[in-house]
Amino acid sequence: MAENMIELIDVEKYFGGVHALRGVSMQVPAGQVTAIIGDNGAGKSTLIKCLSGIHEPTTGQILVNGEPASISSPQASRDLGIETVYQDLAVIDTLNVMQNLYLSREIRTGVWPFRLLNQRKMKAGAKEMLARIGNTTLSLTQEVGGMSGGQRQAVAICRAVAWGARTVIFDEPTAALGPNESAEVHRLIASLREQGITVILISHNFEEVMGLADVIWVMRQGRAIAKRRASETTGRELVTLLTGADIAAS
Amino acid sequence: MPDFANNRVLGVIIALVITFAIFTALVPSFLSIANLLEMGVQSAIIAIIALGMTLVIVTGGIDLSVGSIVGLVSVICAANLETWGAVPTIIAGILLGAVLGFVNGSLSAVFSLESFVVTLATLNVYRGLAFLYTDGLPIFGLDQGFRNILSGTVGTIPNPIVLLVAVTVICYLILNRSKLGVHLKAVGTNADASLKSGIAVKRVKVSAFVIAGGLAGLASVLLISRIGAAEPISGTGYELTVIAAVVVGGTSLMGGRASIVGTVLGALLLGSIRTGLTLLNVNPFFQLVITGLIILLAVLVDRAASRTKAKR
Ligand SMILES: Nc1ncnc2c1ncn2[C@@H]1O[C@H](COP(=O)(O)OP(=O)(O)OP(=O)(O)O)[C@@H](O)[C@H]1O
Ligand SMILES: [Mg+2]
Repeated sequence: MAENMIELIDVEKYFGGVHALRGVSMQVPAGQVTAIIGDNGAGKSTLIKCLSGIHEPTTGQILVNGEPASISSPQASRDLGIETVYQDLAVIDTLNVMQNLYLSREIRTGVWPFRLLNQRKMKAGAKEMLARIGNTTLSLTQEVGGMSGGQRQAVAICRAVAWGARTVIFDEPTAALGPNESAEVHRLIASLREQGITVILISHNFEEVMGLADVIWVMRQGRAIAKRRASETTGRELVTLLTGADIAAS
Repeated sequence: MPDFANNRVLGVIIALVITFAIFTALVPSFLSIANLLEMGVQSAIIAIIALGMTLVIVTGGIDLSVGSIVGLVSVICAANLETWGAVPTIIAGILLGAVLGFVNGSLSAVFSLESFVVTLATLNVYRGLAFLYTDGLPIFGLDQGFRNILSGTVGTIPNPIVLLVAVTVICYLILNRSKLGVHLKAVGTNADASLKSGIAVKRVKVSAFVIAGGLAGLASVLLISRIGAAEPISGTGYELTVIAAVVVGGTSLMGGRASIVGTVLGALLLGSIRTGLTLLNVNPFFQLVITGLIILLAVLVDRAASRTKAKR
């Protein structure tokens, strides 16, 4: 395995006239938690969407496990072992928990054109997936649209970690959660790290970042402007980097 | 999801029972086997197209061109029946419809256009092609052998009804028991989340249009076999009747939720009202008014239902 699970080299992204990423170079070490912090509009979500196949970089290169990768679709990203928990969760409200967990990975039986869903196998599998993240309260047949924010989050996270991903990306996973639910997510991220899974964590919460991350990248106005080891920095330094106050002060 | 759909289907069944009770009280022959089968046959064409429309609507799209597909497929099949033979013509009708549906879906997917606009355009294009194909003339005298295949009977059951049952079962399995069905609902609920979940959103949308086109093609050969002739104006206005059946059946035009059984019952409800009013010699213009009021009622019931659901 390469030292860096993911490496971005000079990645630029334009949305028409909007220059969202301005030559981002970033290394994501394998088996560690890498946090990305930055103000609203700094380009964090755009960056991870380049990894999850939603956007393609305008120019620049992405290496996954040391190999140049072209991540042209969400499926391509999944095929590279990357799973993403999106800021908006990306669950389907009219489908139930089981259908969401198996979305685009449905198990089927029979031969074409008579290939129907194997509900029994998926039910058993979904039950096991939920148990693995320590959730025994969700009902498999409940529609996701009628569930609480924390429950929806649990479905989205379960879906991302259940398929043997080597890298899991979390885009502000606790922004909408209460303290107990946040602690749950923190425990889960820590346990992913223990299993040797690479984690990318986007967050506005310094406490969370300092507690969980090995490496912290700071983004500002489309650039990755600084990299710190969590053990060698302070919240105060991060604030300074984030806002650019040091430049203003000097 | 199933509970809402089933409640709604129950609503259409109750409406059907009431309709049947009223018409039977007024015209006793309404409930005769002969009349019931005739209504089934008359509704079959609309119901088959409506089943395809349901799969498009559940993705959040709409296909306004189905009536024109019927027109174009009808004249092409009728004109070539003699050279192609009966069975190849039926297959060609389905395939031709599927190709026209593929054009609809691809235009909408490739150019990221609303299907409403795309199919409004192809509604005109396909109809125009139908007129060009025959110079505006009808085609008469279709081969009796061909007509018997589709409009004969199995025992006492007319073939169109057998065909409708088969298509209903297939569409039910597609929507509720297949991977494509889950993806159709997902795309109609939230296309962005579907994309992020690894669904090939455009391919799923195109698939719905291909199925809808294919079923409109099947309905075309059914239509010309019943009438024994084809005209370039065949199927004019079908899109509205079909959409009405889908809406009355409880499928949301917003996408994401649909009921296959509801659509068939919706088509039967509208068909039986039409037949009943005709038996009563009610002015056809008045029939239009009643159909319109039923659509309005169905939509209001849906809104009331979704409100109580939201409150819960
Ligand atoms: N699809 C898009 N089309 C046009 N502009 C976009 C698009 N997505 C993002 N942008 C722009 O790119 C910039 C970076 O946005 P991005 O969502 O990556 O920020 P972010 O760091 O995730 O912010 P937040 O903390 O608010 O989530 C913003 O100026 C945004 O308006
Ligand atoms: Mg963001």
